[in-house]
Amino acid sequence: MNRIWAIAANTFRETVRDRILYGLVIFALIVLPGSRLVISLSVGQEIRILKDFGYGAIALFGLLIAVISGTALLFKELDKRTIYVLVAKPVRRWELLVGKYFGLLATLLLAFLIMAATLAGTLLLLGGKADGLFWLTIAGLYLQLTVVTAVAILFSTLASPALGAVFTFCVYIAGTAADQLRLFADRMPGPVLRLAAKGVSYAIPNLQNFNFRTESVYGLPADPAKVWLMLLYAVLYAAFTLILASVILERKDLK
Amino acid sequence: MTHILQIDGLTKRFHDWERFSPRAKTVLDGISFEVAPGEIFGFLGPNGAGKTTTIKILMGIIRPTSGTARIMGHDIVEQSQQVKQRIGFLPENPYFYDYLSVGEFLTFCAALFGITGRAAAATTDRLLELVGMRHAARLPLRKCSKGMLQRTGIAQSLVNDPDFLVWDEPVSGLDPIGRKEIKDLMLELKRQGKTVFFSSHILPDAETLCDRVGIIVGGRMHRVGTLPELLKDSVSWVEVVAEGLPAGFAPAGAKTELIAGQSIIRLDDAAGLDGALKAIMQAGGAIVSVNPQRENLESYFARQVRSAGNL
Repeated sequence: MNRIWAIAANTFRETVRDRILYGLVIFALIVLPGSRLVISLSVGQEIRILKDFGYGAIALFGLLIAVISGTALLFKELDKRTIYVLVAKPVRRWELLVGKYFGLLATLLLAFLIMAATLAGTLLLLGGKADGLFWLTIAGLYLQLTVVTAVAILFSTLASPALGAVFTFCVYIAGTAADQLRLFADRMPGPVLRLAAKGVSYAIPNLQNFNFRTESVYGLPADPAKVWLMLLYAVLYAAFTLILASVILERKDLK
Repeated sequence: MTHILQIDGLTKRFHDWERFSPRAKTVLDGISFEVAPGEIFGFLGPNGAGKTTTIKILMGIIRPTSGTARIMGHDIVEQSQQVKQRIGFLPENPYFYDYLSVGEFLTFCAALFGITGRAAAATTDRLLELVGMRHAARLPLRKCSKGMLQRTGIAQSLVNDPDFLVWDEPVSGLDPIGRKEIKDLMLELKRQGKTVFFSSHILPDAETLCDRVGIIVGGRMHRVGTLPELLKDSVSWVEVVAEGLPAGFAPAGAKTELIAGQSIIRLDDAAGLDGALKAIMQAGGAIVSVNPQRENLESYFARQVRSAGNL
């Protein structure tokens, strides 16, 4: 556990000292209050539009951080050969991946807290409020990215950062339309094709499980069962993905 | 446990899938040798001979295709955790996390062995002192010179007080003073009972340090032994010093030089020594000394590599 903690702390330090991350968070901090200019045109709908826009911006910047950092973390270790020192110490390869994963989640959490606080402040300025649904939506967006980060790390064991980033974005886009993909799979011609399409649609993470934006924007009640499902799904999907990544890394020559 | 390192038939083949080549390239071809506890072992070979590949296998960075290696009796693949608790590794041309300072990096390495808090701070201080980097504890690694990175690398390899050190080219890139300090450190570690296994291109350093050396060429172990063992058959010429010889005296196949009243007779072929000594006695000379001149490690190494068809 000490080793995972040490690697996580080191990864956190690496990502928070990364200029790209600073750039993204600063950009988000400009965009979120700046959205007032856009919504000033929408009389009577300001709070709804600001929330919708704000959640979208937080999801996008979070996604960029997760994908850029997640797909590059292992590549950088291999490219700069810093991994040699780690692997020669009593660090199991799965500990390395899990440590890096938690370190990146800590960075994402910090970025989310900063962005969410900025959005909450902007809402309060316009007479809105950051209620429980607001924070539940933010938590949903964060948990969504815990799954996406695990996927990014899986691709980092298989492909270059650029390819890994493309694959992760594809999985993200497919994951946000997972329910539609499953319906589409049901309509495929022939049992073999249908089974294959269904398999793919279930392998892709269903990121709609994490979406509370509609409830928050329109003030609808959130289903407690959906909250628990979201938590369980995030933990299981991320764990399975990291196990798969560990199996791949375990067999890999770290040239 | 009689050997601290025991390598048996270690083989590594690489597939070049990026070029879609189905043929595997053999980088290590069944090498076998042992390292005894407490010795300094020099692992020598030209570029591409397989030194770093061997070391990477020992450290668990890559996996062997076949063969076994045991460190302190533990199989390096099956029991890697036990092995790694007791070894220290310095990679070739070390590069570390440039966003950390020297002190932060050593503290991080200590944490990987479960050394935290005050114990980690004390370990970091001790190691910085040992490698002469105390002044640089807060210096970011990205600002370190090559020599400083090498010293930091050596410090991190000692963080767990290991019994067995594996250093890949520890003196490359260092100035003469830095090289001397690292060599002195190796001897000090040997004095403390540790075993040092290092690869090097700098043969005079290996010659002065090593109890035994192994020469690897083209992925095959060419020679292993102590320096006297390796060099015993490598007398390249014999010098005989004699007195009382008449001017112009020279045995067959020899050259003579007169220096300070003594005849310095150089025989290019050691087989002619008996005949030359007889000739000196018959000429009324007195033999002062007979000095067989052996090859140094550098020329022996070059000859071995040439004979293996690699030069």
